[in-house]
Amino acid sequence: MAGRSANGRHGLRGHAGRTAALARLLHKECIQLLELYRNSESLPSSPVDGGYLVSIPPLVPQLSDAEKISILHAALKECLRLLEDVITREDAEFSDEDSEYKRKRKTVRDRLGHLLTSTEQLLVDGQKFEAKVKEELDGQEASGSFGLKMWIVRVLQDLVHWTGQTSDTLRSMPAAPKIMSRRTRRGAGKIRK
Amino acid sequence: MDTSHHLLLLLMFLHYAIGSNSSCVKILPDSSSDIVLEVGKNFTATCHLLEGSVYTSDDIEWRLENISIAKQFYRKINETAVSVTVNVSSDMSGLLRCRAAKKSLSYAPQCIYGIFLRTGYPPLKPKNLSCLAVQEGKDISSYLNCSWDPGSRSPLLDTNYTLTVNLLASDLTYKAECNQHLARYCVVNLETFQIHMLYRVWVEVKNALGSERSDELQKYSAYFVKPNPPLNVRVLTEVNISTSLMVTWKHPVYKTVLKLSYAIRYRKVTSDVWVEVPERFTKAYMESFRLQSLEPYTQYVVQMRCIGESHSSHWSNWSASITGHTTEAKPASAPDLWRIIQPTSNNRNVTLVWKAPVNTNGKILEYYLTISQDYGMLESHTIRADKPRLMYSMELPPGKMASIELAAANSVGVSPKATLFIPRSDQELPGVGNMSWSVRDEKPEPELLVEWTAVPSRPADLHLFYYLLEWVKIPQNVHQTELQAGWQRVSCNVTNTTLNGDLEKFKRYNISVYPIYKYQVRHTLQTHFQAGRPVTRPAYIQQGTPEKGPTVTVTKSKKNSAALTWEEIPLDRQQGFFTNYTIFYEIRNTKQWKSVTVSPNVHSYVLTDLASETDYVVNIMASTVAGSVKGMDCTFKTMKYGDGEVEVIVVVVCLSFLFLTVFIIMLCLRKREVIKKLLWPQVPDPSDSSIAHWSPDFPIKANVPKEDVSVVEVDMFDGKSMSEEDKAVLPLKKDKYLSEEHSSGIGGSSCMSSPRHSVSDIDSGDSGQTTASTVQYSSVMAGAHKGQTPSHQPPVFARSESTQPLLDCEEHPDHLSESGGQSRSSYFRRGRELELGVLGQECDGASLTFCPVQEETSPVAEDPPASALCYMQQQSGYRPQ
Repeated sequence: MAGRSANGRHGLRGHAGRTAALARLLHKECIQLLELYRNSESLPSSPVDGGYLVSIPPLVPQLSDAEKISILHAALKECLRLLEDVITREDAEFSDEDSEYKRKRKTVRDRLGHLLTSTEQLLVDGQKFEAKVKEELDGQEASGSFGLKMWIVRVLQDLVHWTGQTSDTLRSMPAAPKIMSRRTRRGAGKIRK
Repeated sequence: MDTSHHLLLLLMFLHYAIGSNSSCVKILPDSSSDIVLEVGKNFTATCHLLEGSVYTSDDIEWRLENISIAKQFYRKINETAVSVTVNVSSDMSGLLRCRAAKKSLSYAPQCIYGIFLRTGYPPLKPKNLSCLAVQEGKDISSYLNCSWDPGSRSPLLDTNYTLTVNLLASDLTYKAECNQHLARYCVVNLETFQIHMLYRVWVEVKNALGSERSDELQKYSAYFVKPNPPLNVRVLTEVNISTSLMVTWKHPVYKTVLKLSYAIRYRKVTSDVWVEVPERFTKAYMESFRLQSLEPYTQYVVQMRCIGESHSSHWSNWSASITGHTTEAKPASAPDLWRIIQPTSNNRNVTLVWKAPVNTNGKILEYYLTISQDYGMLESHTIRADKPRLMYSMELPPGKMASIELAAANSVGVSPKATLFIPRSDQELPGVGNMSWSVRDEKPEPELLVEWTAVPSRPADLHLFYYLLEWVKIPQNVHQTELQAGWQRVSCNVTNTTLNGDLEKFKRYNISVYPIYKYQVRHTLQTHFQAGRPVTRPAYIQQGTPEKGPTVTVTKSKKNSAALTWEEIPLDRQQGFFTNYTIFYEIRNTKQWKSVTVSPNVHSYVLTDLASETDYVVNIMASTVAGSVKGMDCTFKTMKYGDGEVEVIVVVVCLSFLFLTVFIIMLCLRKREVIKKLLWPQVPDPSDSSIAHWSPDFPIKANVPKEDVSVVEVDMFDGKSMSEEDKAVLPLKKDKYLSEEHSSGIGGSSCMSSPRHSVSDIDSGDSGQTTASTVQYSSVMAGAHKGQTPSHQPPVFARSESTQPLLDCEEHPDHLSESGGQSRSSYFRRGRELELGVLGQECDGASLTFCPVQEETSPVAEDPPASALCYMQQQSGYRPQ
């Protein structure tokens, strides 16, 4: 590794830059995941109407970057919750066989969790926003399998959208925002072996 | 009762057997498992006698694996406890026992207790931890492969290595255990390799003697990534730029995963040295790069690799080699022109030879050669480059000079010109002072080092430009297409160099050193490159044993010497410089060889002190420094006589014979009378007999009408002189003669061989005129020929009667028989002539066996008609009788 930087510094702007890169990567992977799902379920490539499931306050220019990130963080958090619901439901109802879609789905879930962790470090103390979900999984029970798949598509579309929003917002930040002194630790002590 | 008694005894035995070990003595420390000891440290164990024991501390003995521990390591604590302290070594694993027993004979049961020891080392701290996650497809593998240096010391104990990876942001921890001996690597599954996240990695090693933990490796995930090499690397030829190549590629991984920068290296196909493009030119996130400042018409090999931006990851491997070539440019340098001059009787054969330019920058298609003699007309030649030999031969009179120019051309353009000036023979410039060569045994091939001294003196206006070394293989093989010569140029500042030509072993080369001068001709302002006088030496890069030995021939063999000659072995078979010739010779099959050594320039020799008339075998051995080879044996024989001996003997013999002949002749001359008498006995001359003087009637002679023949009666049939065979034949002959005689009469038988019969016939006819006591002599009464005049004294025809014997016939009848013919012809020449004349007629007629052939010609030639006539007359003369 001669010639490598000793601390592995990224070329972007520190942690925010890495978070932006992670958001961008996740955005790309979400697109791939949506594509894989549509292909695996033979669904049309056209977007499903009905708007985004997750709704947040509008990201008006008056908001600071930190506020925007905080809002987006809330949206992503809801996206993660929805994705985990999708995973639970799919694993319960469909076959357990390994597929590229499932591997990518796991990657997106893990990556989204890391993005949340990473963006959380960018949040300013005290500021906290909430995101709302229009349609939960429970409401799709009656619409059958097709309705469920459409809902999953909408979840994945939300993922693509909100990760893209986060990526764009992070990339547009002129400098590293104030990093929260408080580090939220998730799953402390969780050991995977 | 018996059963219970037996059970009681069994219990007592078990109590003794078990209870004696457990209740009697105890070791501290004690453990249900092995007690692990660290090698090199002291270990103390204490043996305690339990209460009620019959033993004291003096009865305690320590044993390790049945080997008693020396008392000096004991320490008596009290009357019931003894400790032992030992320094732990790696071979001390095993059972440590404490035994209490009486030294004298005793019925007391012995007490034994033991503990199991294991020795080893605590683990060393792993060092140099590094981890790697390779690229899989477009993603990064979730398996993180970490390696470390466990140290060289074996812990001797079971040791666990635990690799731990912690994702800082989420406190997710992933672990992997590797228990192999001295584990150096371990692989942990991260499930998903997180990009842009901070990982913390360490390895912990643990055994019974302790644990160690490596330094933590806290890096962003990219640090562990090893990307694939760039994809689809291509090298494109730049059509209009001969010094450039375009390299294109594809990113191996998405930019979102890892943003890469690249490295490019290239080399000529013919070289092993890579040239790396400075990273500052390729660090950008790009997919093409133009290599510049390359050589035209050259094949290059290009490789690429990549690394995370700002060296944030591992370098990828180098990509596979991709080859591309630059386009042609016009030749950048002049061809290497040289000449080889071979003087003849009245001319110079000049062979121009050249090598392609060093920087051809393309495929040379043609050479343009221009020759000008004595600054005259330019003579231009175009020579195709695909000819097997790059050369041009011409003749140049010694009194002429030549200026030569040569340029090479490829499809793009023409090279600079190479020029060469050949002066008149009498205008050669000075050469180097001296030259020598030596062979340096370098590996893998020997090298020829040539040294020379500078030009002793040269005109001031001559500028020594460089030296040129030329090597020409001798003899030249006319069948080879390649000119077996080479040359190289060296700076004018050096006076020695190693020949870079590929000289063949065992072949002779003429090495020449030329100083090359550069000067400007005033009136033409031309720059001339002219070679000075060469200094030439024959040389071998490596000498060998001659291929064959000389074939000797013996040109002259004498009584005690022999002259030998042998031809020089052809140069291409000598394989080295001959140091000498050795002549071996021996008397055949004696194996006692003698030898004579002569210098290598001698090709004939005279062997001396040889034995005469002896077979010798000779052969000649040619020697070089590398070895010797004998030629074929040649056999010769020395002469019996020396020079002149034969001649002397011949002369002596001839002279002796001559003297002997002369002596005999002299003797004969001196004794000629005696010899004469011996050979020709004295016969009385009838003409001198008294009867010649007695006959008074000379006139009768004239009147004798016919000639008569008197026949001397000689007894030819004397039994003494005849052999028995003759005697047997005799009656037949006699009959025949008799019959002839009777038919022809005396006159018709000149060939008669029996004069006796004739005489007897005559006797019978003239019996009345003879007496029994006298011998009748009959004389031929010559001159009876009609019309024939005798030229000298007329023959006398007389019948004499004498009491003297006529000849010595009776005394020497043998003389008569041997030389009868001769004597008859001498004494009766006249009569004989007549007889022969008659014989000629007779032989034609009847006589078959008695014809004196050797004397037939003379009488016939002299007077054949007369004889015939005479004969006829005689016949008629006798017929009436």
